[in-house]
Amino acid sequence: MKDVYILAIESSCDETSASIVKNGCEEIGTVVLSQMDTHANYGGVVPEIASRMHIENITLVLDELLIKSKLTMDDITAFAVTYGPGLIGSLLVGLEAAKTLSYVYNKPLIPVHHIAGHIYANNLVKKMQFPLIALVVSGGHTELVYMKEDYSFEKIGGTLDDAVGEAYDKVARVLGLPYPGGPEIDKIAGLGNDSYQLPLPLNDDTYNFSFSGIKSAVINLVHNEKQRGNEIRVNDLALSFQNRVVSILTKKTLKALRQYNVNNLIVAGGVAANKYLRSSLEKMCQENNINLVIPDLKYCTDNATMIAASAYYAYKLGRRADLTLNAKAVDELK
Amino acid sequence: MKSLFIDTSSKNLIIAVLDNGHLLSIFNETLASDMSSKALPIIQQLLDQNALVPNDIDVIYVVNGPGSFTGIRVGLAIAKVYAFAVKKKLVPISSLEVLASSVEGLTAPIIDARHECIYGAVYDEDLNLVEEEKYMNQKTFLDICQKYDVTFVSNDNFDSIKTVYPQVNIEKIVKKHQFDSGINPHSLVPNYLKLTEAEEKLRSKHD
Repeated sequence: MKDVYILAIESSCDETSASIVKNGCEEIGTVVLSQMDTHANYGGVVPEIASRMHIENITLVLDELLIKSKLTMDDITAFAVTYGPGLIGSLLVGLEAAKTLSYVYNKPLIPVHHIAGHIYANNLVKKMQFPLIALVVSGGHTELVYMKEDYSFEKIGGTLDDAVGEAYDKVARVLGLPYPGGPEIDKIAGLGNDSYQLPLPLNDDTYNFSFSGIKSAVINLVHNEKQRGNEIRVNDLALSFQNRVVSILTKKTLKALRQYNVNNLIVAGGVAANKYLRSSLEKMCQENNINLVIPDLKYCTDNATMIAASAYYAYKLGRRADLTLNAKAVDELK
Repeated sequence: MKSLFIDTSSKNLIIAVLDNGHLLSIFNETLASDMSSKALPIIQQLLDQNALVPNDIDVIYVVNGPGSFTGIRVGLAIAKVYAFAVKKKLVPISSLEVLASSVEGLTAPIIDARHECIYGAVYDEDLNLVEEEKYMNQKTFLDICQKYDVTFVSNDNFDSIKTVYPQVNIEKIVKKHQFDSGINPHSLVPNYLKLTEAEEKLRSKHD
């Protein structure tokens, strides 16, 4: 079969990224322009500023990609783009760019769901083995997905409120840590003792998660201790919070693996970079004879490489979009 | 010499195809919603009607603001990537100038910017700027306009300003800009005339 080169664009949040991937698994070149330093001034992503930076950078990113990968548009088989979920204004810039490329070069356009991208980042590490359970953990998502084969997504559980990364960022802010807070908590938790009593969030029989309760518990605890004039043991609180969160994620993931009789686990999304979560899942998988794949750190955060990798399978299945494709802030994985 | 004109800066989507400055086809309609799902299909439709392919276009004129932030970016993403891809000339046009092309004589085009504010300017008969484009309070703008005998043009309705509905003249705009040198697609950015709220807050905190 002829080699398939897919050029993908990802702009769903605060990274403007473009990438070319060969046959769904071989990264030819990737450019990621992160806006994190700008948004750090505001303590979080400001949607309108993110959109403004995407439109300033979109052609620069494409230009750099072509130079870096030593390819021309003639070498490209198809274009792909994240159509959702994400910030509408941000998504639209990448979407219009990809649609324009598809029109100007008269090549197919493949719509990719952002989470399908995160999941298929694993193919860049090791060919995914089916059936599998995917644990998707990021600033916007916390989901357990069952896949019996390529591009078959059955969501078996998700968060009822905050995404796990969102809870990390909010707790970090209350603890006075710089944005983005997740990596900071992970860092200082290593220096602490688990000395604060916090509840295990939504410890029930479902595959769903809820992190707003434990987030509020931390906020209230900090507030009350401050009122009493007590010092907060920041490192301890970070560890106590992290232990509960990682523990429930691990517990429900194991339950899903057992229930669905699956031996393959993949992890996806920005929070997959969390060291505690990685080691907790590694331990659980070792004890239960589960094959675990976690993408390299560079593929955990938002990037277009994973979108191009995912698009390859959508392309083979004949999934196409036309120029009327619109961005979707919210959309089920299917 | 074929050119493509793109204006996605308001609820009115305007796409036009011209040959040596003469209109071949134009789409100019108020959209209920979804600038994104309409703009490129209309471009394709107009090019198809004239048996043109994307590479046949020599110049792209694109409206880069002021107006709807999201709307402007839809047109700009298309125009920037299009021009970058086919390596053709790219010329930015002001949305206020597009409105000003509607009428003869001195014109004051205005766009509602909410909270009693507008984007406005004053143009002469030949689309030269007489008063710079600005984001300002309605009343401030009316004071500025007092010394001129202007016609107010707008797509929007205002309580205190009597406006005429635009009948844009794309040929007039393209003629005015036919010798513009064009801009590198990488350098073309929206002309919002206004900071984001977050930036304004951060700035006032530092002042």
